Amino acid sequence: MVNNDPKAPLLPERDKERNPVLECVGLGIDFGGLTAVDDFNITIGATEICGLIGPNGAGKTTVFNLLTKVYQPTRGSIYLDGKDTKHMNTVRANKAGIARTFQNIRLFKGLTVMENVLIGLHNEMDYRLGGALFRLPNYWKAERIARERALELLSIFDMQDFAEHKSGSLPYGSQRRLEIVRALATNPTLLLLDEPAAGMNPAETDDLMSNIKKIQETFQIAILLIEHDMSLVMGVCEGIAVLNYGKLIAKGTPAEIQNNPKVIEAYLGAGGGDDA
Amino acid sequence: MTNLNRHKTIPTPIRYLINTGLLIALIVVGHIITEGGLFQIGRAQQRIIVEIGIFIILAVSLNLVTGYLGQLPLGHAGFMAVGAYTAGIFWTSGFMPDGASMVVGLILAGIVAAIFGIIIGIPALRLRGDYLAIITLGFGEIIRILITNLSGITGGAQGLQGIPRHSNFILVYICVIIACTLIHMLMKSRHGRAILSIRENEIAAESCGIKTTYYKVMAFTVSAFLAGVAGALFAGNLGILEPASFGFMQSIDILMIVVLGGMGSMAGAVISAAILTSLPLFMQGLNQYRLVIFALMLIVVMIFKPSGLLGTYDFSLSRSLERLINRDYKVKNFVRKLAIPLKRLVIPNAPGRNFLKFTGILYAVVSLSIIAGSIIGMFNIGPLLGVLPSRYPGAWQFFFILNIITGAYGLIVGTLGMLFRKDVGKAKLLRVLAILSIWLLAFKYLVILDGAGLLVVLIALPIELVLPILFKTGAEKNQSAHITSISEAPGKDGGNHGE
Repeated sequence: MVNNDPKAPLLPERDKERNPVLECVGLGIDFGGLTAVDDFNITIGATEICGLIGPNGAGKTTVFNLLTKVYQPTRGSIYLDGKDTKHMNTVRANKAGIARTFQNIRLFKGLTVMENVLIGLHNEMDYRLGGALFRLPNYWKAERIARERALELLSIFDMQDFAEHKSGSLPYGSQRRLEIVRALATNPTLLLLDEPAAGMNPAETDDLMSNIKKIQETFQIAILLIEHDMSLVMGVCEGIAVLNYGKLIAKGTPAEIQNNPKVIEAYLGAGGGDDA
Repeated sequence: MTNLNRHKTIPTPIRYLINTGLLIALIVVGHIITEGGLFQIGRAQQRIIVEIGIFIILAVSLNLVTGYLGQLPLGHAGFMAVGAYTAGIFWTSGFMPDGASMVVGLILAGIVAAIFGIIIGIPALRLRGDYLAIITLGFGEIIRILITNLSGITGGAQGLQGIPRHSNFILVYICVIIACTLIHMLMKSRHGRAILSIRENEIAAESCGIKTTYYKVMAFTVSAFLAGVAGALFAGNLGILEPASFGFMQSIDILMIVVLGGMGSMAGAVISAAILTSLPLFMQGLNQYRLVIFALMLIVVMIFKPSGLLGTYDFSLSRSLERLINRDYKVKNFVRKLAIPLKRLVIPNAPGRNFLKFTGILYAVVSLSIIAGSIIGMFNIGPLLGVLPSRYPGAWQFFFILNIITGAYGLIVGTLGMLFRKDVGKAKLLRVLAILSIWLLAFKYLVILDGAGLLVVLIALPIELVLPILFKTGAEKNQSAHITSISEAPGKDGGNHGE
């Protein structure tokens, strides 16, 4: 196990003084007899952009599902801002600061772009059922602020003009971007992006890369992304973890990962002489 | 932002004022028509109008769960029964003075039904699709059987009798307005959006921090509350309650209203509740075929508009007004589109194969004139709602002549339009036959109204069914092949984005 020590986190210089946003210790899950993820340790700094890569079926999305508590881990624990997430469900995990996008886009396709973002802002609005039914002042105030905020968030990706369009009618790339906006709307401290560049052309990927950096800078949040597009991963990530058959095989900076024999082996198969 | 600035909007207070004013006007006008004595409306007609209101409440409340939440419960009649018996028992007990008792009974009926909604909803909403349907179906039956067997309290199979008839037009339609407003206010808030998000994608909703179970139970409970109120009004309308009226078929009837109107459309639910509840009136001679006709209607709607009459579209007066203010180009386009086939009618050799549109317009003209005729007939000569026209010779003649005129108009214009065209070819005879069938259709409606039209229906229906098959010749065949190839394309595309 190269670098697989939870005590030796891979943090960028600026995050060293702050508490890490996410700590996974010995995380593992079994589906019946199959061990999907085992002994997964990762530490993500408060404003770090981190990549999770690995061949198909390595368990990357399973890790996301563990972090968002879609699955409950069999072993190990997840600390979010130092808090144990043991008894949380997906909703509580979201309120605690994890937001995610999905590999296969899960937008609310029948609703407008604006409504999609407003649903993301659900917990940011504070009025209750009575306030809604009787249209009390706090309803109007919260709705107005939420709409302004939604337009502001949409403007990150220059999508504010599409606010009243049906989200299902957007082009594929915009749907992916809208999913990121919706995730950002829940006011996360850690944003999980599951293959954000899938189905995008090189120009769109470049745009996305600069936008990911922009999001990290403006919101000062940590981002963990799964991606197969190596130009994106190497271009934007400060730390990369490589997963194969459910186990971490390498951790390091992009330069380290690119030259790591184990990673090359995982991707291209054993061919060299490093079996000893 | 530039887009939004250009768009003129009506200020919210004025919007609310317009809507409130219109609602008050609706109540006043409705009250004058039904109970004011200006028009001769009989007890039976009054009861139907009240019943329409009750079914509107039932439909919009079920629509909250099926259309907005996206679940399929089949036990709505159960909640209605709970509400009906709660109110019935409360009102007959004479526990309170009459006026107060009426209001308290209504609210009590809603609350008790809502409690049942919570009790059923918490376990049932953990299930999805078919399982939820079955468990709620079971609940509906349990309620019915309980009512039948608790004869000490509910009067058993003989029914609960002597319930004061509180449900007049004003009470029922005030309840309708409250129910619709309640659902509207709910749906246009963060809670409503949460409910919609569960319909759209439950996993994504949870990852957005929405407590899905909570909102499912909330929608279910609100729906049950309104169904309970509707049940109470139902009790106050009939004056007698029997368990048989809350069977499985009642739930299906309500569901059918929602499906026909369009799941997720409140306006659709209201319109189709009005149509389906008043339909039996217009088909007095065909009462035993009621279910067959309902089923046929549903099949036809599912074939031609699978999402229901209005789909998920919801009518908004202020939106329409805003469109008028901004002179939306869509409106102009719509008018232009309507005008094109009309132009083709007038100009004989106009290009394009417009037969289908042409038939469509004829159908529309004929049926619109029938509707207009019945409305004019109702106001001029007397209540046509539900009465046999032959009993009122004047009304009958007026009606008949009006329809003959429109029918003949359609026939003449249609035949001329067809004959003057060059590319008619072999199918000329068939086209003439088709026009004849349209005329027959118009005639059929007339005779149904008279209550003895089964024979004509039997003749006209096969013609209508066979004609489209015969029509697959020449140009139309190519056209329909083209249409199918287009309609396949989105299916392939949709596969990419699927789950």
